[in-house]
Amino acid sequence: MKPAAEERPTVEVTREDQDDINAYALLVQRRSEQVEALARMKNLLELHSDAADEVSLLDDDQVVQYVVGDVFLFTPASGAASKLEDKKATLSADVNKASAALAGVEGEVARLKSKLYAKFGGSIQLEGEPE
Amino acid sequence: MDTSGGGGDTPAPATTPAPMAIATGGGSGVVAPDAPLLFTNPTTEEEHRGIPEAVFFDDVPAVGAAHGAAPTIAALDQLLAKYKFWEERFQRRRAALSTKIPDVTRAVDVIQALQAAAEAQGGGANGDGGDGRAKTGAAADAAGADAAGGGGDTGTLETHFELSTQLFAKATVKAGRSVCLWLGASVMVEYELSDAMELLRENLAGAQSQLAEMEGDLAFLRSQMNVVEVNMTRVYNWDVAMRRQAAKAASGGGSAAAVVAAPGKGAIEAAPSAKA
Repeated sequence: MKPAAEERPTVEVTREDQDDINAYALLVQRRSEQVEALARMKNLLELHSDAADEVSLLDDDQVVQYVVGDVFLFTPASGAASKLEDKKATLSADVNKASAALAGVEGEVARLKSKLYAKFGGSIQLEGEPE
Repeated sequence: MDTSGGGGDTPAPATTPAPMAIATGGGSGVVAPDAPLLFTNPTTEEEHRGIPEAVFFDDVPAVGAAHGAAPTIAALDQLLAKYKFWEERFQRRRAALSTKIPDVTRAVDVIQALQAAAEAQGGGANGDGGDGRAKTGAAADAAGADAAGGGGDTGTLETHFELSTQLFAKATVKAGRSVCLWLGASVMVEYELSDAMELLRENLAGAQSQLAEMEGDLAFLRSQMNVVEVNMTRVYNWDVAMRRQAAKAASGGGSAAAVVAAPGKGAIEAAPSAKA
């Protein structure tokens, strides 16, 4: 087996490359955190939507138990419905913001990745491919 | 990953530095030969909690020639261990903060519900007692406080609350004008609703900014660790290249199948170890 290593030209790592590598590592980390947070928010939004759908089937004066903090609060269905709608609005705003932030990070990851691969080719190994 | 190709000619573990006197460039911020090898620049106390910044090797041959490959790598390894130690500490503190934030948020939610109930039925709960101070003996004497506390025209909240894990009791809570906040250190203080809210919001903002700061420190640490790891790899590769040259020179240009790979690593590796 012929070692390819010998022919591979040694590419000097500059301070700028090091900064790019650091930035890449941080971005990949942030991306995985953001993906996780986004999934959590989406799940929460879905749960609230389901709850809102259920509540809408009830009479307005029927009492439901709405969780506030650590307690179940007896609330008329109409009140619970409006609280759920408020919460849904906040959550979907959060989801949109998180998606936009994630897209920004993805773009930056892709930019740094192509830059680093262009310079180092096979002698660099970048982790963090999206699933 | 070890990308070793050659079988027998793998260089021995770098115990004896190969002091090939080539290309010793500028000093590049290298410490005196007999001082302990640190490879860090100090930062100020406030900045990143006084944790020093790792030095990036501008000139690997100079560093390698000055200290030898093995001592350099050993020193870098020690530095890496220190950074890892700090990282673990910070991660623990971050975890504690991230549980505090939802706790405070839940308390804020409950106070909002209390405020809403007080406003909905009491109407005057805010108007009457606009003094906005924590309820003291003097404040309780005020007419407004009496009306709110005893008049029965404040709102009530009917709840199921957790008496013990998995055990709920039904309770009717009078939405008065005050709540008690547990401040820690075995102290609970009664606050006006609006004051309690303000206090909790301050706590929340404080926790969030602390968390952001902690994230910044962790990012700094991770970058320093990357610098150290890349330095290590470069010194190792340089050492291997030196050995190969020496072997070539010795055997009159025989093709020594050498390895260019750091222990357990690719030539250069930005390894954002996936820690949650």
